[in-house]
Amino acid sequence: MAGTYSDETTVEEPQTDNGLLTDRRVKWFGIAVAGLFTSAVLYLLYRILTDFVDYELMQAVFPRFVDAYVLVLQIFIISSVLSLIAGTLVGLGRVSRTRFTRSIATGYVEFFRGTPLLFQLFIIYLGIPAFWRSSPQPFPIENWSFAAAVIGLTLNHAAYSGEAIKGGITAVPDGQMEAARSLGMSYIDSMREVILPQAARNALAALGNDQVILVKDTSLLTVIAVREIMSVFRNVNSNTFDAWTPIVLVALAYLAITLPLGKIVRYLERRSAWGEGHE
Amino acid sequence: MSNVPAVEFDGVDKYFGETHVLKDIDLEIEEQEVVVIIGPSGSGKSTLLRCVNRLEEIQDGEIRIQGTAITDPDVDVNRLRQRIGMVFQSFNLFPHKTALENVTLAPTKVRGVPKSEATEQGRDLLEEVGLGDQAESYPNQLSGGQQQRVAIARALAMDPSVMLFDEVTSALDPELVGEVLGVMRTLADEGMTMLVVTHEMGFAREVGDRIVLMADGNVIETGPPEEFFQNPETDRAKQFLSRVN
Ligand SMILES: Nc1ncnc2c1ncn2[C@@H]1O[C@H](COP(=O)(O)OP(=O)(O)OP(=O)(O)O)[C@@H](O)[C@H]1O
Ligand SMILES: [Mg+2]
Repeated sequence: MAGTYSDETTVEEPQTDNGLLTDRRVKWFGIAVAGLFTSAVLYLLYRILTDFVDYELMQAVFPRFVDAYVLVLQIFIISSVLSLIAGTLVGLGRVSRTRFTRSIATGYVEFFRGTPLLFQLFIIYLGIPAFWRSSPQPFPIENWSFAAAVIGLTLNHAAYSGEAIKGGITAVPDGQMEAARSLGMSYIDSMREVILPQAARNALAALGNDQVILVKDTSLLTVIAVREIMSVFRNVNSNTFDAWTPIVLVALAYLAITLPLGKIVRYLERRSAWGEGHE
Repeated sequence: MSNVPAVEFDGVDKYFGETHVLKDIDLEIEEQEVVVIIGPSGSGKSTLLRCVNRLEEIQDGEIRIQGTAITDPDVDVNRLRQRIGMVFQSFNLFPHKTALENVTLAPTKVRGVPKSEATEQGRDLLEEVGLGDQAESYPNQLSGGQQQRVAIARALAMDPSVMLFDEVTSALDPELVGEVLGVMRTLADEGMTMLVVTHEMGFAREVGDRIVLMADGNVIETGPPEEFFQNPETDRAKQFLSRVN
């Protein structure tokens, strides 16, 4: 693929005196380190899987991890979609030509990036039901931890994706908006049809990063009583004193979300090559 | 022609902050007339064009399109712009859309033209600018000259009554200039009203009905090409022509 720095293209030994760090030595050093690392990991994995993992226990607790996995996946997918929608609005607010709108969007971003997610989760989980405390009606939402989790993650990550989208919009040349407007398209049509698709491509790497962080942020949800993956881990571990069996299951559960996510991001990258790539 | 002018500048003033960029401009462009605007860098040529479709707002005076003031409160700026095609020096094609999609986007989104109809019209327009075989290409798969011709087709798709060209060949390799000027010449022959900012004096002379020389935000001299190029009246014009020739 174009764009990667392949060793093959370097021309012989360099003329300049790099002392010990000749290109060839750097290359072999890299191979050696990677090799050592791989051997160590494989050895540990082998020891763990043969000596430490209790397969009976694994079978016994597996359904609980599956439940947690499904729950986390649900929360992730809903929060992901909502935070991307809200993030687009935040990004649009950040580039608005109206000062009021711009400052509100900025304030939003400052708050949600400037305070811990843990704290924000508590504000929602504990703070919102407090409004009902003095009223005769009971708090109407049944599965409040789930809803609070989605709201908290959405609000928090809307700030991050909003900044990414703002950066993506700013990177689109002014001429694009001018061309769209000069055809008689409205501001919002121009944004939707011309600017945002390009902004999304510009922001794709940053958005993908943030989505991975969103997955990992679900591990905080245990504090608002969501039975997510890490809470099952702690539970199993404190009941059985087994460490490696639940650790392996946790790793599998998270990777079963983040690896496909990475694939989706790369697919979108390829799809937005717009005639540039080789495909 | 005794009709209402296609475009009319009436005492137009434009400022960028403190800078006075257009100074009391009076200018009339008749229907089907090709007016070529020339002048040194920074004289206000681009600004003059950009005021016509309100990419820039004027501070004083009035610009009228077919008799209607563009700043009239009843005028919807998006409607206004549909009647005015603009082509830019830097093409500004939409990179995420194919040549055909570039051409059909505005008709479908703004006019609500059905997709099949817009596609048919788009193919015809690409055919007209000599790019019938490049409909599915993305802008970055096209040469500069091809991109600029797509940009012209895109502007024409809205069926404008006036076309604005701002140095549309300045970013092109010399060997690609001809194909774009050729399309513009055809358009002029077909009776399109055109305001053309260019450094191509050959084109100005052959295709222009009238030359307008600008300097420092003023219209210095205006006249038919033969007279303007053979016998310029003002010293500024003589000076400018001696520098470009
Ligand atoms: N957005 C802007 N903000 C401030 N000043 C501007 C802006 N656009 C143009 N100007 C100034 O207005 C004057 C006229 O600019 P304009 O681009 O219209 O000139 P031009 O005749 O098109 O020049 P060129 O041949 O270089 O394209 C210049 O002094 C320029 O610096
Ligand atoms: Mg200019």
